[in-house]
Amino acid sequence: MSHNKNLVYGLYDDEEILLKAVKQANSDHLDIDDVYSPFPVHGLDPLLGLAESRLHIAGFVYGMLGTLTAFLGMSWIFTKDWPVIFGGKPYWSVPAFIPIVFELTVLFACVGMVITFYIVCGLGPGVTNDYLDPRITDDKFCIAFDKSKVDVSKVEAFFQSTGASEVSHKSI
Amino acid sequence: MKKATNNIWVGEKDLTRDEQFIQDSQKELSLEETMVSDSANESLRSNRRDFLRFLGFGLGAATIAAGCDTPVKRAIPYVVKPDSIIPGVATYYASSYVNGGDYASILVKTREGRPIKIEGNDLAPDGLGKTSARVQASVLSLYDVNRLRTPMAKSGDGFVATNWSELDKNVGEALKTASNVRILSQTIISPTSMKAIGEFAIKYPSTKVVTLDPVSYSGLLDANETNFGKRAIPSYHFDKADVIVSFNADFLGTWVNPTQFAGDYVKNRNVSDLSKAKMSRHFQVESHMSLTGSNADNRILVKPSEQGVAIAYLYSQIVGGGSSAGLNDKAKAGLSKVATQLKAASGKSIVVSASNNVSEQLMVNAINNALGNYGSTMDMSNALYTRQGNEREFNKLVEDMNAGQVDFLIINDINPAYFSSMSDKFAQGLTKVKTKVAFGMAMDETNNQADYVAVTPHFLESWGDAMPSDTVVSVIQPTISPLFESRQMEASLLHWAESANYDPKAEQPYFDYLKYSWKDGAFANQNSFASFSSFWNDALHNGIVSVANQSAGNAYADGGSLTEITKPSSTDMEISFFETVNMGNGQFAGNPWLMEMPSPVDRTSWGNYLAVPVSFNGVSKMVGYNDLTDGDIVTLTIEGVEYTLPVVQQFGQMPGTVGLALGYGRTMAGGTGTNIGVNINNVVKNNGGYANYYNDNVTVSNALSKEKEFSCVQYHHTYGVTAEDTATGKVINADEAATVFFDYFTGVTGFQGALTDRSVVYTTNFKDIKEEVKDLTKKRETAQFLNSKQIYRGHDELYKNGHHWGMYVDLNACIGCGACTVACMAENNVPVVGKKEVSRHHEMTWLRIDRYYYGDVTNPNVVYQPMMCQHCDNAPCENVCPVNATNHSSEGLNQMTYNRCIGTRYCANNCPFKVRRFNWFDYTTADIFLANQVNIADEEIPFGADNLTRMVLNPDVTVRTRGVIEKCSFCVQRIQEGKLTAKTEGRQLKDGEIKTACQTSCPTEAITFGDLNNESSVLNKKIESPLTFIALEEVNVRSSVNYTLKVNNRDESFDA
Amino acid sequence: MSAIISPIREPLITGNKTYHQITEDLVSPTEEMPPLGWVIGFILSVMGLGVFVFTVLWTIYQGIGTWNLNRTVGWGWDITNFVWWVGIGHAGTLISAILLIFRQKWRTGVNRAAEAMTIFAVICAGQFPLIHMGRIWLGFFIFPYVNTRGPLWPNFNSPLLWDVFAISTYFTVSLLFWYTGLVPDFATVRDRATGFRKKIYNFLSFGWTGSAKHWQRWESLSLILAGLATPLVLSVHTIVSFDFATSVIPGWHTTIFPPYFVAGAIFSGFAMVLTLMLVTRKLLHLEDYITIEHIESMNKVILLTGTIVGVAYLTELFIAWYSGYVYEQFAFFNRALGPYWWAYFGMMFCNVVSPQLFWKKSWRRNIWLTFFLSIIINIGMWFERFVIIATTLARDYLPSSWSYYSPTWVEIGIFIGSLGLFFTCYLIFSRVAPVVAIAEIKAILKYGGNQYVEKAGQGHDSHSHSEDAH
Repeated sequence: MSHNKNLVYGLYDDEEILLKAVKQANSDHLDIDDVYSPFPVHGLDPLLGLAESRLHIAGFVYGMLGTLTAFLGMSWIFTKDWPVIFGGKPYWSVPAFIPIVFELTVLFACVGMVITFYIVCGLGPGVTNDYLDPRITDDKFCIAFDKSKVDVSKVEAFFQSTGASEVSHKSI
Repeated sequence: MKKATNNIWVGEKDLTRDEQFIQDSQKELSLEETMVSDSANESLRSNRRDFLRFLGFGLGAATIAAGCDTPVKRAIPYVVKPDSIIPGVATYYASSYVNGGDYASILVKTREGRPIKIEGNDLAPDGLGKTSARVQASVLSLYDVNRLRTPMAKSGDGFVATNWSELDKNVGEALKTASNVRILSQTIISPTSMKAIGEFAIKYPSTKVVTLDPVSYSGLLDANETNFGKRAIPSYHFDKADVIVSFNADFLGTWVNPTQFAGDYVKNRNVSDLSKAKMSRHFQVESHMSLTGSNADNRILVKPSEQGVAIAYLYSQIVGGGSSAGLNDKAKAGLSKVATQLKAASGKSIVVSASNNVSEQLMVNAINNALGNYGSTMDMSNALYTRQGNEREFNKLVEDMNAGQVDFLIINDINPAYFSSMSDKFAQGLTKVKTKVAFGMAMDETNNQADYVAVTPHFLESWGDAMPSDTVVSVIQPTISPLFESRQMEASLLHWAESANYDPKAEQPYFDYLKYSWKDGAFANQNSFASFSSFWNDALHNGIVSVANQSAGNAYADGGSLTEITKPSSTDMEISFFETVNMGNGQFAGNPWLMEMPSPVDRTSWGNYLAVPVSFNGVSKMVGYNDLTDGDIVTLTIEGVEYTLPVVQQFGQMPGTVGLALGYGRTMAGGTGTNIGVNINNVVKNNGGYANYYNDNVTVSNALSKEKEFSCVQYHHTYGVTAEDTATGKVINADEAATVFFDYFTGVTGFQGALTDRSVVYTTNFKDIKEEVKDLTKKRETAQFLNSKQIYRGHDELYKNGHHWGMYVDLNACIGCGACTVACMAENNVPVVGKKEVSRHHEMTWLRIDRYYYGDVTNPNVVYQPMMCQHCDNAPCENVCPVNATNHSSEGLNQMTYNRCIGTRYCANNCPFKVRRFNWFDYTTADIFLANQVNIADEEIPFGADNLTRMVLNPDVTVRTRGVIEKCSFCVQRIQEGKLTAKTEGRQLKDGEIKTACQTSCPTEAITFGDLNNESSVLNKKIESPLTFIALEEVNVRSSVNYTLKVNNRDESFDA
Repeated sequence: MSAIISPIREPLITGNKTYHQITEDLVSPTEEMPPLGWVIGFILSVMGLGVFVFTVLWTIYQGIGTWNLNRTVGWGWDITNFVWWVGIGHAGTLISAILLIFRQKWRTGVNRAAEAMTIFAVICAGQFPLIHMGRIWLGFFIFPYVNTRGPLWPNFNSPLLWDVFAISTYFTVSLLFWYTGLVPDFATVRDRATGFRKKIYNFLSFGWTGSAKHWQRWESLSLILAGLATPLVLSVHTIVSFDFATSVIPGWHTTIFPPYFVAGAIFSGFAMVLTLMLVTRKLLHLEDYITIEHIESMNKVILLTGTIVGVAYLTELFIAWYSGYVYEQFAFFNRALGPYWWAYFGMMFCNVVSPQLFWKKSWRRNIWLTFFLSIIINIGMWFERFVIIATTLARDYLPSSWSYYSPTWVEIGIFIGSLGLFFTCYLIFSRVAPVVAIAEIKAILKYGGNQYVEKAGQGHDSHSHSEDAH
């Protein structure tokens, strides 16, 4: 989230027009700063050249962490810290550990991922990000260019050609 | 210091409630004040010290503040420590229990000077040192809040407290003018008391002593007097008898000296060694299922009014002569068989009867004589004196009183106004007596009508002696100094008699008198000791001495009329009145432990329930008389007197009869016993001045309503009783059919085997014992094979080291008397919860005795199964506790950590034996909230909340708070004590050194506790018996408690 | 749109919605004054909540003795309610997670509300293990916190402790899943709001902008969460069933419990979702988003799971007979014919017989019948738990300890109260958050909107229906 960027952006009424526009922009070699939409537009990511999210890798790591915490924790407690006899079970009653090991795995993975998600997206309780147009969360699809990176006139022409319903400038 | 008002004071100022002092004491907790004092001084050192002081004090203050109030300190240190007391170590004193005809030589366990538990005295001969539920519970009555604090004197309708000098003065004056002095007493077996009374009688020559027993034995005594010239009861040796016939005599529960009899009885019924298995046969002739009847092999059902002719019939079969018209044919047939078996066992049989009819008892004596039982199984030369009540004399007294011929009456700890069959006349008579002095610990129906109540100490506060039989004298010694301003009856009499041998000024006057009386009493009749002091010390130590038999011979001589036997009545409904183990005839009504203890046979507590016969309707229902079901309220009309009371279906109750327990319906028995159940003593039949405990003028109404608080601790009573299926005519398992509530119109009548195939308890007949043992062994092998397949290895190698505690319960020895259940309550501070809670199945007993009927539904046999925590090595409860509050010790104990328990009750659900108990409310009044304390009997303070009753608590056992689970701990405190003793003495623990409370209390030694790792232990010896089994073995909980195959010696030819 | 459009599908969104209309329809409830029906419902629910609070405090103050449990029956309505609520709490995650993985587009109409329901149901369920403790003030003992008592740890062998972990994990994960889904929709609300509401929703929306990268991560997060939540949701009721399956009590000690409990959970969960959705769509006029299509799909699931449960019941009976183990045999004999036969009968009728009506398509699509049956099924599932818990305990190994149990007013009050707690939460939710996932609905508009479906469907026989949404 870079700040104090001067943006020129256009609003589209439909995701299909948007997709066309993005293709056009790529072919015109216009460097798109970001695209905003009210819902995930499928097929957009490759056009924008977004790398696939690595959240799931993080999730796996967190999960393993949970597994180890649970299993090693319980094993240590029951065999080293304070062995207690329960109903004739051996101290290290592994089968009985399985449910908790599983639960903690899931718990760590999910919590870890969600936290990671909000951090990398710079979102979170109390965070306020300036946004270009309130209708983006309603029914408008927005392509934004960084004025410092593109020729504004070219961009405006581009918006004209690709059928943007509005074009405006904003600095966030 | 609000709490200080409940009469605990920390200092003299506190006692006098000095205002200034109280204010200061409150300031103690305020920091400000000390702040001020601190800012006063400047120096760094003292600042640092003050800082620390604040730190410490702040913490302290916080802690106390957390307690909301300065905790009241109840610990009072010894100024001079008594030599006999080591804090934390129990001291035992030998003494004797004598009450209402019961006798036991006992050991009293005291802690820090408080008697808290009673044990039997092993040194006592003839099994006189065994305890019953009553004996076990007697320690609680010492701390009874309803005891009188001071002597009382009548004023107007009520009583006012007085003092002894005042009372002595008034009584003395009254005695001066008295011309007809009578002493009405319960049986006195104390030689010294008799001596004292003797001295009193010399001073006041008009004195006559009249004795009466709560339940009369006059008929028996008078008969014996006629036949032997000795008004006593022979000592019975049930161990020597091969055939036992009892006519309604509950000799295992309440008759004469049950604990002694029970001990002998089981000796001849021990079949644990198959090679020399031998078993007596016991016939019980009765209408109501008594405790003894429940243990009998065959029960011959006769109506109460038929008892006479039944005896007469047996008499005619054995001695010859006598008419037996009116006896039902089944009984006739049975009794003829009995007669032949008796004859076959001449000299090795016993015939007893509880009849209070002289002629009938004469016949019984004649029968026993004809069988040559005297001298072998019955011994009149060494007779029992525990019951001496004489109804004729009592009736005479009542007449004299009504005729105004008695002007001074001393009532010694006896309550005829309640239990006498002529209580009304007695009460009238009392009004005509000028001066009435009553000795007693508390107010009761009789004392309440006296002019003075001379408050007596509890026997644990008294000196005394007792001579239960011809050859035994035992000591009663105090184990705590009297709690209240009480004085013993004997002391008072001697005082009033101004005896020369009695010095009121002495520190313990009666103690001196006792020794004086022993010098020329017991001491003279022995020759083992030269000096009295050594003899006396020995007597005090052992509690009991054997003395030479002073009484004359016992030649049997015929005599007396045999014709006045009870006439059989033709009415179609009769009622029998019986004494229960826990209530007696009312003398124990004030004792919460006994009140809460379920009556062994019908398993009800808190009230007497009308026992109605029950039968199988041939389809799927157990039907009570008049379609009455458990807990129905009915109107019982006896000779026009109406009683409203609940009923309980009683298996084995003879059709056409009902039964009702004596001893309930007390109107003055303190908070616990008052108005619990109904009192039927006033409709007890009185034939020729003898109380006959039945009535034939009875009607029972239909169900009027349901009892709200049906306090029965067992809802399913049967274990596969059989009956005929009307549809098929086949004999089916009736109670399995009775488990069907709705068959979806399929006509399913229960699948057979649902109950009989359970591995909870096994029963068999003596003649089939070999086959049954084979089956049992096979079953056990199968179970053990399955169990060997468990995935977990277990901790056997760990259990091999050190101790591994286990228990063995001999079901053939257990007679179900319930002594163990009360002993357990006493030992482990098990709370009493009251009628309402019991009715909700909230009873807290750690040890219960399950009772199952099996065999023919109309005339079943009974098996009792003491059920306590089985201390399973694979305990299901341990696995499921989320907080680790219950787990297993390396010695195989399933241990419960109360303060870790959060009360999920999961362990209780998962316990196959259902022995875990949950503190639903704050039964011990140990909780943070007052609201949930259960008020058992509308007392001001809930039971156990008062400081007096709390004195009975065993300091070695935690008192449990609300919301935690508790259960049998195998008396872990005793285990620890035993181990510690062995350790301090630097030796191995001896086998049998540790005994659990239930074990020591058991009169038949049915319970054995010990170390499974000790090959030579008695426990392991017993377990080797092929009859041994483990309940629910195939569940693989690996319980540490073993039971025996229950064997009965039923003569099945009777059922034909 | 990259999604494959099946031309022979009933539209999932009707009424020719545009993106803006969708926003209007779904956000407006959070902006307008609640309708009368809502107000009445809310008042009733809060009253129920009051009952809950009172009876619970009463229990804690007086003791568990205020319940009619006894030495034989240690669990009654308390744990019955617990299992019942947990079961209900399964539909939400199931719908969102499993249906998301199976790419079942119809879920979008209902998943948001279903997830909310899950969370509130789990909250209700969570109350009971606490309330049923004899000493709730020491409840913290169950957590493995480092302490100075040894240190003393909880017993990791105990199914009750497994429950603690399972339920808390399930709750956390469901909450995160649900909220993450809500964030973009809160942004939508934020962007329409003004003044103080804007501030609140700005906070709730975590500063969402709708950036493409965020959407990408958001989708992959949802997918992985779904992937994890799927085994989780199955594990939770499996572990709950362990409370019984790992015991030694005949009738509890049953290996069939895990699948049987899970099926039952889905069964009751869907029933509860239906009950709620049918009311919600009426109150909030969402007929265009929660269509007969949705209802029918859910009725199919109910028919399936209901039948599975029925088979489980019969299997139990068969195994009991086949085991030849007298206690097992008697336990089930007693369930069906014993003193609690009515509970068993109710269970069988409500859970096995009644759902069979859904074999008929027109009945599957009948709103009133669906609503009625959904309630019947919830009653039946409550009966099932009662049968398993109370009737089993009442008569186990030792005939001497057999007993009977019926609740006191306190226990009934706590149950009624927990319903109050649940509906209070749900009704509040339905006013502050979009009850249908706006973004997801928009995402499938081109795929399931009636105007597009019909366009695509031209030339095909639009009346022939495939049996199931593949």
